[in-house]
Amino acid sequence: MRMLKFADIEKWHKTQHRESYNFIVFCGDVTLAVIDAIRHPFRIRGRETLYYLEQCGVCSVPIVLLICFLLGMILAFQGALQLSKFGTEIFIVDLVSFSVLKELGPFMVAIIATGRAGSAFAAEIGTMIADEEVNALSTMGISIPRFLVIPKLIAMMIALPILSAFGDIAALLGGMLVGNVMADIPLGAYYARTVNILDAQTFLFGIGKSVIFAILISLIGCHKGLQSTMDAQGVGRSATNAVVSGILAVVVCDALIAVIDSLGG
Amino acid sequence: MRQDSSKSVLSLRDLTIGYDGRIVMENINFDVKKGEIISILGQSGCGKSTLLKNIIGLYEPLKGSIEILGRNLNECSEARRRVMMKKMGITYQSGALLGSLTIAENVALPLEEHTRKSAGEIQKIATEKLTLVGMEKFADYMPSEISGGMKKRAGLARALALDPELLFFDEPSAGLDPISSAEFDTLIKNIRNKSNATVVLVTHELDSIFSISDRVVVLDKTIKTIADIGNPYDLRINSKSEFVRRLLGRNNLKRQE
Ligand SMILES: Nc1ncnc2c1ncn2[C@@H]1O[C@H](COP(=O)(O)OP(=O)(O)OP(=O)(O)O)[C@@H](O)[C@H]1O
Ligand SMILES: [Mg+2]
Repeated sequence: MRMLKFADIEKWHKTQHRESYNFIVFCGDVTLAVIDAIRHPFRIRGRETLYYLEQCGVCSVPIVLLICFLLGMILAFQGALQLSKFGTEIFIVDLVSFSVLKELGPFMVAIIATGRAGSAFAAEIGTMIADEEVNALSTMGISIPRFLVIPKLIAMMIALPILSAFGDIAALLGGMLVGNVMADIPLGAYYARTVNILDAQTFLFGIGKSVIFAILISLIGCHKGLQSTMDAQGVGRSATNAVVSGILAVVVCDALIAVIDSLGG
Repeated sequence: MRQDSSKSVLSLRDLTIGYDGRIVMENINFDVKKGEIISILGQSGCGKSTLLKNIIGLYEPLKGSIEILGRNLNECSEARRRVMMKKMGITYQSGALLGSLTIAENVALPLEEHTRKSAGEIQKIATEKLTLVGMEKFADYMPSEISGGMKKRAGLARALALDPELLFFDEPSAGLDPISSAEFDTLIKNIRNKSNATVVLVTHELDSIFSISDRVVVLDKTIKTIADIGNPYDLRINSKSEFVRRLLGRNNLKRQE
């Protein structure tokens, strides 16, 4: 096996450095496009936005409901195993409700969206690069962030919070099912405790996070796509990169928010 | 080689082009006059596409300047660049139509972006341009549903949408059969005759060069610069460069052998 040389690390470091620099410039461009979109909302490409809303939102509903429902069941199951030792099964409700609303609902939806939307954005833009469509846009004097990024960004910022709300509900129902079957908590009691301990703030905390995840996923997806090289392999690589970097960014961001939240609370 | 630059719509001065500091071509100087059809010819990989991409502002030259209609694209503001881009029509090798829009919408796109015309007017112009290139029947097709040659023609219709003063082509006839390729050449010539647009053409096809170009710029990979510029019929016989005479006389040589 070849030893990793210092020069390799230096080279890796340099590419990483340039990548981060490019990403920051890209975010700046998108910010300008967002300001432009706010000032001239009629110039947003409505049809594209609706298309992505359908692709990233509507089409993801079944998978989000399924995964979150199962996740709620798993949580309640593990909770029941441990809590039954102390005869405090009713706290399954607390375990499921808080972890789903604050963390797992928005998080799972973000992971699903990275796999579905982030990779699709990167592949789509990568293909457009390979076909010179991006060059054509640029030489037609059309702003790439406005034309390619804004519709995706808006669609994701609308779709993810709604999906997260759906996911929350599905996970709570999953937890309720297991709580009822395994831990013999009556459905009425489970429901009453859920309503009792949850408040709007907890729910909105999770939904707010999903908006941040939406921004991260769409920016990373589009950026990886724009960095794609002009060949089929380049498109594949950029889609993979979009998923890997997207998940990493979501996890790191989630951890940061948790830390900040715990400091504040 | 240098002419009065006030009359030229495109002028390249001491240009060096390349990637990441690696020089592809250097010492490029030439002017293009209004209404002229000028071709760029050279071996594969010698830097024709690179030169074209520098001219239309996709890449920045390593050295020297490019003036289009009296302005340097790399030095003007974003707003000015948009105005300049309206005066330039570019067709790409693959057509580069946007896959998410129909052919008609592709042609209408520059009009929607750069003019304040009503939807009806835009549609009328788009149909007009599509008729010009003989693609009016395919207005509602998606780019994935038409052939390569049709994509190029649709791309040309889009490039013509804003009635540009300058037209750029990267290998318009590559991948076309000889008949379509000759048709495309005639189309380019007709458009120039009608609108007096200036045409810059990158090509491999000697036939197109002899049939439509007023002048040809021959690039040479081995010396990394321009081998000669001039009328193709003239250069074929009188060029000082042996390479140019051989390249342009290739058709004849083949026949003699
Ligand atoms: N994106 C790029 N990055 C680095 N080098 C490049 C890039 N594109 C082209 N080159 C190099 O620049 C040189 C000129 O390439 P270019 O595409 O301009 O040639 P060309 O004359 O258009 O060739 P062809 O007739 O085959 O289209 C080649 O040596 C190529 O390796
Ligand atoms: Mg080329």
